[in-house]
Amino acid sequence: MKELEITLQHLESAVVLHAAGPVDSNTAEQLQEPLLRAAEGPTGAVELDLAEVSYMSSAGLRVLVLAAKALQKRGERLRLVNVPLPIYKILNLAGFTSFIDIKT
Amino acid sequence: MKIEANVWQKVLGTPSVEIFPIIPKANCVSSNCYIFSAPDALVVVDPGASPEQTKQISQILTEALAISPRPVLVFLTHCHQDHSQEAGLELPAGIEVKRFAHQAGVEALENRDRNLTVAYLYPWNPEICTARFEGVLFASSPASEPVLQFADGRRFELQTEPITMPDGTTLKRQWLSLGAGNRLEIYHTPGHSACSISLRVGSLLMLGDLPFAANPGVCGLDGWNHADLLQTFRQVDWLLDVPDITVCCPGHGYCVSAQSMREKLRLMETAAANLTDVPLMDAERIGVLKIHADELLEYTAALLTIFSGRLYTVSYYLSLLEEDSAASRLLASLDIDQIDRILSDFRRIAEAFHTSTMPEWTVVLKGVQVARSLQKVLSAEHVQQLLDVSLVNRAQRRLDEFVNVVRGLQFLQMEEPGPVNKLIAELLRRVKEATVMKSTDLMEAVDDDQAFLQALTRRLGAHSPLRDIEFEFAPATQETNANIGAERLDDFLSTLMEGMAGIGVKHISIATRVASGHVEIRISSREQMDPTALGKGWLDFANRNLGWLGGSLECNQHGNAEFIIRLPALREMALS
Repeated sequence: MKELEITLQHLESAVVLHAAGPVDSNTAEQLQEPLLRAAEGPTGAVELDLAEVSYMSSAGLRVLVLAAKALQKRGERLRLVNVPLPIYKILNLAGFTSFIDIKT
Repeated sequence: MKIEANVWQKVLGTPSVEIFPIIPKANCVSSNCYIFSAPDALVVVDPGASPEQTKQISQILTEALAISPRPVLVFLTHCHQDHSQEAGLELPAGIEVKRFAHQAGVEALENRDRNLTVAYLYPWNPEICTARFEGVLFASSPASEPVLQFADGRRFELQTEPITMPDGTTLKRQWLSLGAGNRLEIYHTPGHSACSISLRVGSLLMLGDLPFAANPGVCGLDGWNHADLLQTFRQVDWLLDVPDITVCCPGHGYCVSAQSMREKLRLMETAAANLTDVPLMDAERIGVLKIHADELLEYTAALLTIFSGRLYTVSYYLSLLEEDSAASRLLASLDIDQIDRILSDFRRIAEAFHTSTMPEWTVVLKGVQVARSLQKVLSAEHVQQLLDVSLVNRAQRRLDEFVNVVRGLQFLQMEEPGPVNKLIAELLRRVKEATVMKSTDLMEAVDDDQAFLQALTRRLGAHSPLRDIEFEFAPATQETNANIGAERLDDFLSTLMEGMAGIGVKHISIATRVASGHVEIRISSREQMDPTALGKGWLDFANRNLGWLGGSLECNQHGNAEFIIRLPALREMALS
């Protein structure tokens, strides 16, 4: 079974996290730790690339909300890019597009 | 008396019998095994089918034989592969083993019958038990010998003593002595299979797979019989009325008190009452059900992830309003993590299936287990209050349907069909109503912090994804009565259009027409859209469901997307 892999890219004005694999109750913690560390940092945008995420369960959504809350405290919004359409559909129907910037 | 696994313990109600239960994690590959130590024999009930279990049985028997060498008697509660295969007991030299099973089971094993032994369920093509069965229970032929003679001089004689039940039926019973006043009673309890027996030693009753016989995925296996099962339920209920029986030992899972088994069997009897026309659970049907389980769970997982996501959205906004404790309470009120774990486990089992030799039947049974767990979570009253009721009901209906389909029941024809035009008009009216924001609930609750938060939560949680969609509806001028239940069609259209909204569609056109005996519904987006973005699993699931009704789903893409749903018109069906 393929597990989740997270790689980090530190750019001048942003931290970009690339996730690959399923984000569910077994793997969400692997995303939570680096994503929150970036979101709770003092400055800089945080972008999460979901191009290679095959599936996201509610455990993954929870991590996104935690990061969005942390970023909101310093007036930023979490950015999701390359979101696969099935995941985009769920995020949109769940109302996440109102507080997270989401691009397919 | 509490029965513990993997330890010798005295059997109450006997002068000197002890039991050593082997209870693996419940699975459909290998059953529980119960070993009894009596003065004249060691008795093994259901060796199971895993080599590890056979090794453990051999070890336990060898240790007991070192203390007192005796014959070994192996009994099968029935001939199914997971109970009977036994990978070859290894016992000290000079120890004789004789095996017992109901005559129908002995014949099935001798004939290497892959259906009656359900060996066909297992993709690794298991070998059927080749051991000789000297003890033929409830033999119809007088030629079979009721006395089994062992080389050490011991002899075991099967005594036949049928019991006449208060309802006039006969419970077939045999028994044999295990020495020093201990005895083993055997009852013929068919239904799960023709060869099913139950065994009693003192206060313990071993029931084999009777407690699961009406379960979805189990009823309909080759050899299953509805009338026999109902009679067996009544007869075992009577047996459990005997105060001496205090513990029941099933073929899979933990031993339970006779009282709770009685309650369980009564529930099973009620569930079994409807199962008059169960189709055979053959390899083809299992294959279809496995695909259905995959599709259904994908569909349900998406719905439940949307529920959870909406709660997270509400909690996000509550936090912004500095209502962190209300946000935490909200999330705690629905055990999202539990739902997530249930679904993640299923997803992993389904994925592991593709890279293993796991039987398809396992995925079907696991699907039923997951569906039942989710049904329980969704039926909680507070969930109904918290979440969009139409979504919850939609998920519930599909889960119910899945469990029923696995059980062999299809209630499609029992749903009330309705005119398609009217149904679509009502759906659009409902969406429009939801669009008009009602403020009365918030206004009424404004003086009470708690009530205000609840009203706010409900409002945020009930966000309809269709409220921002611009609809056009061109209804057919003819009658549009179609052979589909109104709720089912509403669920189907709502899910389809919400899916379109979810991937950014803002304008949806709906048109109906009647042609060639079908009512046709065309749903198209004005925007560009790839139909497969709705998820291949869901499209296959929808097609299968419509196919059951004699309908179909066609997807076309010409920049925008068009879905053509064809449903058999009721008038045409009546003529045919």
